[in-house]
Amino acid sequence: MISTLNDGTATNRGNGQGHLLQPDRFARWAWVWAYGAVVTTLAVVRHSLYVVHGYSLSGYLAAFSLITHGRPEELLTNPLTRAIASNHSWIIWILAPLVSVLGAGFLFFFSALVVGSGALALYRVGQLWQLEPRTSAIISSLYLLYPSLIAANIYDFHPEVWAASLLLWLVWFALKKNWWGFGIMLVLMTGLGIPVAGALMLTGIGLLLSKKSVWFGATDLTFTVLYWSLEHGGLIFPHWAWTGRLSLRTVLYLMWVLLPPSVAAVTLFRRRSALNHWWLLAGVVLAWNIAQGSVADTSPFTDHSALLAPFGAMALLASGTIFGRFGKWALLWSTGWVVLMGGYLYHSTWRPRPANGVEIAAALSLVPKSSLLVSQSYILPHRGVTDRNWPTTVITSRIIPNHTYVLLNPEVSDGYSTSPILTAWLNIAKSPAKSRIRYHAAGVWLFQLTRPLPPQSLGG
Amino acid sequence: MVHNASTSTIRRWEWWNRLAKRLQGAGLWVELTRNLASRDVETRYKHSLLGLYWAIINPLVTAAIFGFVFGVIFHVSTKPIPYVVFYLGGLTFWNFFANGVMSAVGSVSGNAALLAKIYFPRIVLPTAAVLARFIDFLFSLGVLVVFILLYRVPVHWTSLWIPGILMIQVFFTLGIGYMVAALNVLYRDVTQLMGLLLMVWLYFSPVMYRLSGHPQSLQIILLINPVGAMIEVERNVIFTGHVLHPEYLWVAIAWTGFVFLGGIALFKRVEPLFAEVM
Repeated sequence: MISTLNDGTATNRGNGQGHLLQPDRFARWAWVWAYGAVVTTLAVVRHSLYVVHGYSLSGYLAAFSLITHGRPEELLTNPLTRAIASNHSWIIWILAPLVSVLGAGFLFFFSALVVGSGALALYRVGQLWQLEPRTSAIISSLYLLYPSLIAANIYDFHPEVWAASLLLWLVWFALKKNWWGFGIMLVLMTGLGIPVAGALMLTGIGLLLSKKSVWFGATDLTFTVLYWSLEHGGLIFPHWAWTGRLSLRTVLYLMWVLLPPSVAAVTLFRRRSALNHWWLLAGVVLAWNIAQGSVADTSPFTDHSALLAPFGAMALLASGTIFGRFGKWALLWSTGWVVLMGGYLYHSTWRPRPANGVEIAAALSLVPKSSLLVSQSYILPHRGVTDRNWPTTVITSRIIPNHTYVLLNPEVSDGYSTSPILTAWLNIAKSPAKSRIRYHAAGVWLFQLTRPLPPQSLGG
Repeated sequence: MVHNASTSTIRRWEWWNRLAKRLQGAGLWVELTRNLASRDVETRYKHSLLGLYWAIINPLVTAAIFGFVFGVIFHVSTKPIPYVVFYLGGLTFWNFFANGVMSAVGSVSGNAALLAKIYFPRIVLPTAAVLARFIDFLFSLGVLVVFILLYRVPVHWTSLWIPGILMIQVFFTLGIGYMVAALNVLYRDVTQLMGLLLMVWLYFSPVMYRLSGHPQSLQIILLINPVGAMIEVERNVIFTGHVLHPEYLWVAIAWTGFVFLGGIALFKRVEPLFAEVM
């Protein structure tokens, strides 16, 4: 079946009705929503069961609560939100009122859909590059199945991961020469904060070296450098303390010092073949992950390496002609990936599940809505964001006021609350002079302080 | 430059013209759907003595039977809400879904004569079938309101969320409706299968029983079911004023999006085969 692409090129991509891997418009959107539905379901179930290691969602909910209650200055003093504040991400100011009305479930749903829509952009790029629909569909599916993206959605909440999808839309709009769409994506990307600056810059290089999108690449690079330079000068947002692992100084250094040699090196790979320049850009992202964190952070099973997904997928797409020749192997590889993800889901989602979820829920129900609660990171998102006083975690450098409720589940550590801190809290719980126990069952403790608690009493 | 400017102006006009034509076309199909839906309701009750009252009698009788069996014989407690009101609160919304799906199943295969005569988008048929059941549902909703008033059950202002949740339920019902309508043209077993499936689905949805009090794992299974989550939320906003499991409504919304778009995609894929099979 011969059809015509949007740019007028004849292609044999078919009418989209013949094969499961040649989806039409509705099927493609259904595919994205199916991904969104599965991921949202798993995330919500996990949330209901208190399945966790570390839970950034509680940090984001705390930040949203502080914003909607008119206390944004506390973003920097609250230990849960300090790192988020340092990201300079303006998207949290938009999400805050939405979450206060729609609840935490909205975040899971929205995040899954945003990440999922990236597959659509990828598929369209594949079509534009006249790849077989089957090849585009397989590569888009591999993008969706990239464990890091799923990990960021199911096991945690990180808006920076949305950049993976927005980057792919950015590329699509650039290749379609749609300045409006490109501009919107560029502005949205800045909302995700400093962690995405480097990826935006690398995409600019990628576009600069693609023959038909030179001006888009140049615009991307200029905009990125200018925006974050102004940010650094405190001209866009007030100058906050930098506590994140990736400082703005590092980003600026990368922009000014590493940009020219990167462009030169990538130019060598400027061709659409097995070794195209997107592979090199993906390599840079990988190296970046190692440089800013550890080898463990580059694992596809953590959210830290999520931004590797769009670059890897673009590299695969650009090598699409060769990829298509190994269709059966690609399918086998995809199947293996699915099996791997299944095993990982079983291992990571269910094993750390606390056995006392019912008791945690029972204890939480005894805490009055308006009172301050101190607890572990993964318990806090179950509090809702409309409470007047947002709880802090057990790690705190502030005085904890009198009458504060403390909910402890010493059987599970969330990464924030170390064993000595939990023991210190338990000692306070057992001291009638300092607290009054409200609930104690199956290892879950709920008690209320009867005197203010100085930070040194926790040994911190 | 002049050439470029004029070309872009022409393109813009073309785009507007295309949009206007599409809207005009969509208006015609909306009109057709509306007419088919009202015709469906009319013919359903035309030669019956009680006419539209059947839309009220059905839920009334079912509620009375289940109210007697579960409320009087088995003493199922739904305090502080009387069991009849509790049950009717779930049944009204469930019936819309189940009746909508069952009407949609035969909407294409039962209109072979119409399909042979004129051309129109076939998807209009299941859409009209579901909308017809929505009209029935509005009558049932009236019955629910009467029962709430009779038993003096307090209703919360959060009931204002009902239209929004109903909208999601309509899209979910439409999606399932498109799927079964298309598949029923190819395999007539779908009608029988859906009857069975809906019976199982009813028991896996918190219509007759309360969600709280069951083990957590069972509650999660019941809430993952989008219809179950929607019914639970609908009942919560009417009777309790707060949603106990709001995050599961997002699960339902996500599945609704998939079912609706997947339903259209499947229908469009099977549509070219209709003429061949029928």
